[in-house]
Amino acid sequence: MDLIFLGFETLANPMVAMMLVIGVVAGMVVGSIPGINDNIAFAVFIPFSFSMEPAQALALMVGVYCAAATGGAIPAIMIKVPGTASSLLTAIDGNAMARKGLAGRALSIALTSSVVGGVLSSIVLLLFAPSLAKVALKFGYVENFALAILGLSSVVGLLKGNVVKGAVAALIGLIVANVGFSPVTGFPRFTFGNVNLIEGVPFVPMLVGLFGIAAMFELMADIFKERRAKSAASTLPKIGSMLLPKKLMVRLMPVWAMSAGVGNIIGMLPGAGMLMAIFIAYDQAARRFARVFKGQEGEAAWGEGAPEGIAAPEAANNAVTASSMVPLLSLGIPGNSTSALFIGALAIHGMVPGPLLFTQHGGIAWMIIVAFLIANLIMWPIAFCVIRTLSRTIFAIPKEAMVGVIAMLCLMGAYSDGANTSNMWVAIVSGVVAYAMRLSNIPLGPAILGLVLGPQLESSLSNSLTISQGNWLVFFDFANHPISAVMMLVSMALWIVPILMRDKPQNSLKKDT
Amino acid sequence: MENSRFATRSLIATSDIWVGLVLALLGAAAAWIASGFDDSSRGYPLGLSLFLSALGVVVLINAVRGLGAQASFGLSLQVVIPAATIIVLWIVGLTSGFGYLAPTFLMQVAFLTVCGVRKMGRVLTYAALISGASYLVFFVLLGVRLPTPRAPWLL
Repeated sequence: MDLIFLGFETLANPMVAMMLVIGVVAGMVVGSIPGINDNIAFAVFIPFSFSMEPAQALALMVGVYCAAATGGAIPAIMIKVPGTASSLLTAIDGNAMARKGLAGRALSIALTSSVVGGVLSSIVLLLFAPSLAKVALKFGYVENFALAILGLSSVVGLLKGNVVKGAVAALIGLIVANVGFSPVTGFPRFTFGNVNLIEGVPFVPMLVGLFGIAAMFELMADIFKERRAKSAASTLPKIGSMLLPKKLMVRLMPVWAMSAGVGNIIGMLPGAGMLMAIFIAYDQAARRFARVFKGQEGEAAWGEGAPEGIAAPEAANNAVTASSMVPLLSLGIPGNSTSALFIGALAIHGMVPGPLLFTQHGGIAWMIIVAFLIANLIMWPIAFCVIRTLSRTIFAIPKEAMVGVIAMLCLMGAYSDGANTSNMWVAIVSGVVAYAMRLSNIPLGPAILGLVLGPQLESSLSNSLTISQGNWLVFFDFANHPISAVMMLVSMALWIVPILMRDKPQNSLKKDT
Repeated sequence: MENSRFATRSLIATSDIWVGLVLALLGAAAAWIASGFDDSSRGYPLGLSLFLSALGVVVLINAVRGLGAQASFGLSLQVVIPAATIIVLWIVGLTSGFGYLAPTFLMQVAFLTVCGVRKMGRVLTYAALISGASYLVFFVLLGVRLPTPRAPWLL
């Protein structure tokens, strides 16, 4: 309990609290602009966070992360263009409800669902992260290696039908993490005689490129496609009353509980991502809607303004935000790509996520947890103000002007990390590589995890083999390293099960024929 | 004859053929470089590189078997080539001592034009506003230091 108060105490600092509020407003605005998302905002912000106190910078990031997932629902409902990928499914029923003159109600359902999902996931973070960190403190080299393997396997194994490319992405990340001095012998590897690479590829400029520059290329491609399609601008529906009837709230409670549950579980799995959570939650809500409400008088059809179609994805996407921080804060493994960006923000202030964060920087670790809870609680009134005041102005910002702005902000951000021009080249090369990977259907998530876990993987492998005198079976030693053995077996299952599951329908088809 | 030509064309259009080739070559190149490291630092990167090369071959084989993806890179090249050129020229401008404002203004003009803003007045206004606002934020507010300009009056 004292530790939770420690988090509150850090957050109670007026500057830290103000940064959290600014973060929520900024996240709401960023999420509302189609084509811009929290990843770009983080990529731009992280290098500049160097000049801020760590607590202030992290409070701002928490605010942006929570609110961007919610802000994406605003354009999804108003103009049927999701502000962020997490609002993809909200656009279907949300916009249909708005077109029926109930835009205020649709927005209100989305906001309330986001707040419910976010608060529940903050509680999960509060309960699980410190307990997991306590367990992780007991880990030695062998367990750390098994943990890194488990993290990578869960990312790759969860990519249905794309295991090979997932493994390719993880390997690319691991190989890039090799650049610089060897952690074992100090031998310079893959540096090509460049002094800027001696300590490895600079992490922050690389993140800026992978997320910011690649997103800029995507935005530009969208503009080119839209120009060819010559899509007509749609008119904005009137917002109207945002009051949510009590009866509707009672009706949505089971959907909120189920979707938040799905979001929390998926969020805690490294690499599963927000999209998987919203699709599962939406599917479950559709089944419930068909069972309970379908065909009733005055009831909109599924996909044509059903309240559950808005509530499920919004509760699920916000439930992912805080729960994705559970593996990051406790084990040092990011739950998704966005939470991986927190590693950059922590690194810039000399902190490393993982169990030691709670012992070495307890105030910061607990502040992050508490900030998630507070950010979700203050989100409703802030979102209400943004919708009533800024939303029309935000939709009027031309996408064309955003391309150059993103490029400039990202590159200046990369440069200001040490005022080094070589960082700009790192950012542009990383951006091109990330964009090429997306086009080639090679997922970015495992590559980020490979980059993050690479150094830990190599040093723990080397130390484990030294201790065990070269015995590779040490990782499966149930007698001396039971946690490692279990993690290695789970990792193997994560690789094998998708392959078996892929073959199953084919086998049953053969039997049928 | 027609059939074999069609088969070759569709094979070339399969993006995974190229992806597999690039991965296999990259892995092989990384393995070759890693083989030159000292004994204790060699094993781990060498293993990873060889694994990457092998997976590249798997992607290639899958593509030949007709299981590969067919992505078109046409639009992407139209995006990456002009965008990367503009950015590279901007970086060269900044690092060659032309100050911040002039290269940034030209970069914004170029991006707006490439993205399809046709009215010159609008292009120049947006570019001037973005360059001016970013100058105030980066240099006045955040105190970022740029490489020394050729002349003191160059902002």
